Amino acid sequence: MTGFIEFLVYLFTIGGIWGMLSLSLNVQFGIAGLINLGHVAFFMLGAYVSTILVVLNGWDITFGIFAGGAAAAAFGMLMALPTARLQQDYWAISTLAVAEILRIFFLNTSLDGPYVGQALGVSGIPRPLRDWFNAEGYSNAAYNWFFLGLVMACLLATLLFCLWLSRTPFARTLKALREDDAVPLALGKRVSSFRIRAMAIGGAIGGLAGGLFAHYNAFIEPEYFRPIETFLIWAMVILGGAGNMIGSLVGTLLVMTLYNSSRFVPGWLNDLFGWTIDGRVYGSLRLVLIGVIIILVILYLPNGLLPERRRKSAQ
Amino acid sequence: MTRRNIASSVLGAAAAAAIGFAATTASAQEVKFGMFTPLTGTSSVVGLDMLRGVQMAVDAVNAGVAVPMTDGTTMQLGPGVLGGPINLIVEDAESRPQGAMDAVRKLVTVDQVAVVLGEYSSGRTQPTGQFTTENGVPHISIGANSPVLREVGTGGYFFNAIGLAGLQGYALVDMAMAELGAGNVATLFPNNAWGVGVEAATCEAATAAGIPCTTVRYEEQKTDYRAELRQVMASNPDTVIFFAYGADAILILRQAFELGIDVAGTWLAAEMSNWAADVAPTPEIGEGIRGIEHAVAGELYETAYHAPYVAAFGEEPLTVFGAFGYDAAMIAALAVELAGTTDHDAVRDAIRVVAETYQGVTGNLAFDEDGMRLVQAYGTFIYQSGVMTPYTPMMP
Repeated sequence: MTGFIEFLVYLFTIGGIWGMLSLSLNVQFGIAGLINLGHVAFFMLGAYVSTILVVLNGWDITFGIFAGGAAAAAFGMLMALPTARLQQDYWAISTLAVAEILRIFFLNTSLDGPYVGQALGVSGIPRPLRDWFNAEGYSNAAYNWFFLGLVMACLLATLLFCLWLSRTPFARTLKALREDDAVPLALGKRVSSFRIRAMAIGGAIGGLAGGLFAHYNAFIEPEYFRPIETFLIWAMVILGGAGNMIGSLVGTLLVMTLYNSSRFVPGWLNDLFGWTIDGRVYGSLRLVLIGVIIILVILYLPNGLLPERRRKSAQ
Repeated sequence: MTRRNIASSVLGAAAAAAIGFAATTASAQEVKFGMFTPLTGTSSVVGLDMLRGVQMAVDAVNAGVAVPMTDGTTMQLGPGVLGGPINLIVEDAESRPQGAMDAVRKLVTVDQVAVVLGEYSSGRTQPTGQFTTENGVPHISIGANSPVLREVGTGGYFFNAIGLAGLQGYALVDMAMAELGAGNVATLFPNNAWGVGVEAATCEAATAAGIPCTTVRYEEQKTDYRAELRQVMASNPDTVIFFAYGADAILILRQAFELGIDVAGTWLAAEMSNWAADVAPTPEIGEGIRGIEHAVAGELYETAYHAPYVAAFGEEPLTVFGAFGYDAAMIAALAVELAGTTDHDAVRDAIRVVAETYQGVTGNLAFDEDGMRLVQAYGTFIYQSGVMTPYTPMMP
């Protein structure tokens, strides 16, 4: 049982990081209506910038993670600058392309000699306070609980920030933009400026999540940041309910559960009912299962499991 | 008798005595081995083959098996280890890094296995190796051979059952010089952790031999490789050392054929078996290419692995990696039996001892101080009429 709890600690830690990612996409898509198909780029940039600064330049981990967030915010602005006036479909394609360009950049860039960076990735990324835990004689399990607490604190701070943000006049303008450009333009709002700022805010949160991931996993390489990861973030936001921050976290929990349950469900079904399901078959059906659930949710709950609460005047 | 042989015999006798003692004193208990391997996704064929190899070894030990030793004797192992059966717990690594990490974390924390076996991809083996090392769990990698894995092994718990790519780089450059009189070489490798590792090792070997080395990397699963082919031939190399997985190899060799590149006269293939069967329907595009492959042949391989494999699965081994999985699992079983316990530190120490004396179906698996396989034999082949044919090169 202790081992199972330890595994759950790991899943909730990873889930918390993914929760921050889904919140960041919810700012961009749920509030601003920006279809960002390259969202994993912020995650990647946060992870790489923090790793480079901490591992190769000797920065403190905290500064490294925040620098990763700042770099991702700047990248979000850069991404939006030339594309902010594009129509949604062109915008979506351009974001996918930008994320792949960034991944290919890191795939082909040596960071410190032939065996660091590129496809080989970076290993041995330090973890916050790890040496102190070792010196004090705490177990690995104790450290994992500490990191879970750190991630949950970051997730809570991100959630509170996103909830506050969604009630500001800035967010109301973004929501108006989400529906159509006409009204904000008629009110004299600079549409591109709002989109750029939404990309920067979402990018910063995604970058912070990337930094946390790099310093938890202690290893990164470009394979971690393929487009499939963006698809999973989208699944979390759509399932939970675009525009609803709590919904994002519910969606994250649902997708993480679906994704990791394949390691246990066949055994449980066998123990409880005597049913024999090949874990390999169940495993390969996970993405199909997530896809089917998304289709069902779109059909029967088009606004997600927890739809965005709209003001009565808006209805 | 050389000093090494004497040491081997003494270690073998000690291991045999210790194993016999442990087997009589340990109480019956199920021993858990954990394996993570890609059963879905792009590496699933190799993953399945490694699983078959490991499962064959586990089944053999659970039934009782005479294990061959390096001094020519055999040692009876089993049924089972420590008086109980081995329970092999298999987790799908999904051909993605996060899937591999999820799998290993479950094996270590939930299942609390005695030994972890896997994987094939260097990019997935490195972070999982860091995790097992940090948690003090013995881990034997099966098919990953990027040179960066040596860093993981310095922790003492991580071992590699297959020779690192550095050995392969030197073998390829030796062959290029002897066979093709190479005065300069170019490499054409996929841009992944394995390809970059072998490329670096090959160029290190070439530089050490005083030969200029130019490199070209390609993205996998592209629909056109003519730009890369022109780029690799631009330096007018005496030898092109290349590697490709099945579908990519068909396209690369087809387009090289159409461009009039003399692959038979100038190309050497690393790990040729990765494409040999795929290219067979159009053998003319690979005709005459020479190359190397991990040596998995001989009488022991035939009787202990190849024949039982064909009997069990009704087909030839899918890749060479299943045989390395077989050896990794056999070493793990011997180590647990020698240790007389599933305590991780004791098993880790025992792995080093039994690897010195166990005669694997892939050869001798003795590890160096970093847990990396010391000796890796490579067979030399020539591709003729769609078949990899053993070939005796003019190497000294």
